[in-house]
Amino acid sequence: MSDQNDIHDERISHLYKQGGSEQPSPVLDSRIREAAQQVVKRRKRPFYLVFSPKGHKFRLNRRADQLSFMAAAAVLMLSFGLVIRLFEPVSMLEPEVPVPMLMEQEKAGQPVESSSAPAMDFTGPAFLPSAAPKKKAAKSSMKPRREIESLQAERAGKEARTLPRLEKHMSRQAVPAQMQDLACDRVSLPDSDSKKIWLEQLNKLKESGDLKGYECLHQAYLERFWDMSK
Amino acid sequence: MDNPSDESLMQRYRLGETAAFDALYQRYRGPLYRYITRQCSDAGIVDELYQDVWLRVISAREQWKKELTFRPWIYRIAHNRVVDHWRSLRPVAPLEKPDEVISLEVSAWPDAWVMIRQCVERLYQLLGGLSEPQRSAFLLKEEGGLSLEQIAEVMDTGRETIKSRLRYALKRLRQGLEGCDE
Repeated sequence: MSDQNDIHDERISHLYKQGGSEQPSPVLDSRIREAAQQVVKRRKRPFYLVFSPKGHKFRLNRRADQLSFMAAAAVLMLSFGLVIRLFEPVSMLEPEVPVPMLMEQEKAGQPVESSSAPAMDFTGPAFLPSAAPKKKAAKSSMKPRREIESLQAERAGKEARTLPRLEKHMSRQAVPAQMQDLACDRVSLPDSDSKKIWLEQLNKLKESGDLKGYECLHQAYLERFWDMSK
Repeated sequence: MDNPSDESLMQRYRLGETAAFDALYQRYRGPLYRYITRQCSDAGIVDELYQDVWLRVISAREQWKKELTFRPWIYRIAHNRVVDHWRSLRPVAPLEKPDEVISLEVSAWPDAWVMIRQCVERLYQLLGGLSEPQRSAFLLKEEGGLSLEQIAEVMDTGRETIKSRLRYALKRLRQGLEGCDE
């Protein structure tokens, strides 16, 4: 309680409040209120034209000016990057390791093109500022070419080894088909659209014990009357 | 009766409602102006500082957070602005002409009123004689209505330090106001 009395004196507090009731002038009030309103209005219209009385013309507001400057700077940066990219040495544009597609094309005798720039010849004189970088580029392109040749040889050897095996496997698979064709050639198909005649023929083959012929005719019967039997 | 808090008014102003700012301004224009007036004797400087405080409030509205309490926040801005002003006037001097803080035409008033006016005038003189931290602490309490904690926050110091400043300021004022008891 005494602590509170130490920091608060009702009599002094009352006396202080009896004192002046100074207020800011109305001019000051209106100036501050106007500033508060203008900030809100400016926020609502980020891009607008302002009249410049000095030059008697309209121009963009400050924020729009800043944004247009930033946009111009960004365009400049991108253009610069593009120019740098165009004048890069050839060795940097060519792939270090040949891709299988390139190998295929080279094998087929087609000209090999860089995937990053398919329609342009970067080794041409227009793209190389001097002879020295060109030599350097040719040297650097020797290494991948040698690698291509060695890979091609390796691949050819692999194919030579695998091909006879594949042919053998294929011929083994083809034998039963040939035999089946010979068995079916024997069977004469009824020259009629009548199901009854076809079934009679099937029964005859079954009774005679010609199971191969029966299978062939049955297969032909199913193909012929497939939609009808549905 | 709808009586929105200072914080909600500031939030509404932040979102673009200028009427909310007007309401807030109406609440604080008197106390804030007097707080600065009691610290500076030059009316021109008072106007300049006062306007500057409000312009800072306006420009800081984008950074306003709901968690803040408006009253200590605005008095902190005002206090810092006044302190900056004093620092620019080194060496720090107390009010040069404390008599000019208020000018009273007392001749036509009843005796009791004259007595009160004289005591008030003396109080202002005594306030001008206090050190800046003591005067600020007293004004933040009496004019700003801030608590001890809030004053400590505004003046960037501890609660106990503020208590000590207030105790010392009141002691000086009591001594100077002897005879104003009635």
